[in-house]
Amino acid sequence: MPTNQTFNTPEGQTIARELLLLCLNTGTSSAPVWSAIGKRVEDSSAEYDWGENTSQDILGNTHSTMKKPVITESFDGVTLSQGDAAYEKIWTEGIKNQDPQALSNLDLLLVHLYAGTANTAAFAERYPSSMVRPTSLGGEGGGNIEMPLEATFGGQRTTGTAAKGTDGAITFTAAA
Amino acid sequence: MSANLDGGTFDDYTAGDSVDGGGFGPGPDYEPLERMRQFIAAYPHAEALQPLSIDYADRVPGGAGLFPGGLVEVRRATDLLGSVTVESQYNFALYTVMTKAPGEDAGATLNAEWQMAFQEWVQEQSARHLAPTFGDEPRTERMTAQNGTIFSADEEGVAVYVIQISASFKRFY
Repeated sequence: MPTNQTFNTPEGQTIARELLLLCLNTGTSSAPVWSAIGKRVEDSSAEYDWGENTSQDILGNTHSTMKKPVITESFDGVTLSQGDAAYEKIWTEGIKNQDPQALSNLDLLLVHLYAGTANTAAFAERYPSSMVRPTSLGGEGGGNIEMPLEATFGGQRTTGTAAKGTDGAITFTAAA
Repeated sequence: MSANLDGGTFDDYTAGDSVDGGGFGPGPDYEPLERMRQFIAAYPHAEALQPLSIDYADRVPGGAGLFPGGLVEVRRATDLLGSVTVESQYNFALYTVMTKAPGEDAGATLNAEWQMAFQEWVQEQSARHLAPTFGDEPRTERMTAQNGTIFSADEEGVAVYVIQISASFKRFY
């Protein structure tokens, strides 16, 4: 029985990128609806800033310190399309309402479908006060409307497990 | 539509389509060659193309044939959710058989002007989004007709011309 710290993919095989999902809560805090971010985005990585500091004392010994990471992730190539709940919510709060409070208090769930029990109890971490901001809106003539995003994970981190239903719906259960 | 959004969203568009204001699609009767044939037949000076055969052109003036050159996959990309976008290109060669007496300039000029005009017409139809489309994002599709040139000419006054037609499109999987 794998634990949340182990990978559930076949031994020796590389792990597919789509098994790492970032979801935005498009429902409510008590009844979340997790909508995946990343449709038509071909390349995006969460960046971990550990606030590391390295110094050397007068005896020549090196000392390093770190902080808990500040995680940020950029999404280039986001094209708007009807029916994408995550993009619509960000568009509504950022472009239509220009509501910085709402944008900096979004609920993100990072789902590691490759860790834990596949599809039923995968490792997941919830960041309930995250900032997601559109950095621009537009695109070239004849092309599509693009809305690149920058996300900064924030709030009290809660770990737990996520299940992915046959319809793709994600449900999160916080660890006891 | 998400219930938590307070109006002003993307209701006017079809789910999955990019937001653009366009609205074409392959339709239920997806027959690329027949649609190409009908499209070419709509050219205002298409009398030189009757009948338009597939993979065959009778070597008499007035004969014409559309030769499919197959599909070329240009690019394939997978997004973060695992969905795949494939950009492809259909290639065709349009052969037209026209009268051209050896050494006679007037007929040769008319033939060449027909070829040039046809290529410009295809370009205009594509730019106006009136050309056939084959993919899931019709608004961004592009059809070109180019490199029209004489292919062969004989002493009996028959010349064969060829125009290369390409249609670029995207499919989402």
